[in-house]
Amino acid sequence: MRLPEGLLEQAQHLARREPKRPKQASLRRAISTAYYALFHLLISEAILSWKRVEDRDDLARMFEHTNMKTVCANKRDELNGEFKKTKKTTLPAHELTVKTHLHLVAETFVQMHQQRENADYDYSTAWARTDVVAKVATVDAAFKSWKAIRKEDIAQAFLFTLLQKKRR
Amino acid sequence: MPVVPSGIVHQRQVAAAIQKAAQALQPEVVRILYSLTLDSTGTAAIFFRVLLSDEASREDRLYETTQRISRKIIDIVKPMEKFGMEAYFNFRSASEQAKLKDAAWE
Repeated sequence: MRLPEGLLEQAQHLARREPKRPKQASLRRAISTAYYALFHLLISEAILSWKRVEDRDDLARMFEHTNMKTVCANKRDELNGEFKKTKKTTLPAHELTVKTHLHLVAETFVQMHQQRENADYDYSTAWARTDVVAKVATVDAAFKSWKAIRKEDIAQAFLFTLLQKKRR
Repeated sequence: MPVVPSGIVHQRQVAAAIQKAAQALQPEVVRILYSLTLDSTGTAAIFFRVLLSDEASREDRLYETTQRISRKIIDIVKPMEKFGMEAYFNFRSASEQAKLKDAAWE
């Protein structure tokens, strides 16, 4: 099993580890682990496009959390604008499907980037199992969406942009 | 010159839009609370705390329910479009809140 899928499975396990009285530690680690599952999924996919296999591990270290979040937020906003402008029904079915999947991936990354910060560093609020199960399920859906579009040009172009340093 | 997000300036409009969303989402949503602050990257943000009925919190459809509710809130409130704010969502069930007795969710 690859690291991203292993992390997602671990997050699913942690979210349900104590069904009746969930420990805050389990819930917080589930959120954090689910975020890292998506983070590593995107990086592991991005580096596959680098031809020199021996350089891929070094390339993987060049991705930065905050840059990736900014790129994802920009992509989500761009797609929202496109959906609104063209009305979803006028887009060709395949293009709409691909863009809807990519939107879910980008939006989930934005959400989970912040939720991971809260889970790891913010003591001020308690986590509830309902929230954690829903968020881990969203990451699972983002994995499925990514797998459905990973070979599409728009998906490959998106991976490349994750290395860029852009301002919102 | 620093740019203040519209959501900070127009807090009454934000509150009214959220009230409208909460009404539209009854009975699945018991109430929606929120905080206006910055997220971890310094972007102005609304953090929604959505209290779900126990019926709406059923695990077998939790993903669909929370996605649908988030979309509906965004459609009504338009946090980015109207107020220039990123939106984040947290959910919990009424029975979880009854146990946790978290003042931020009351």
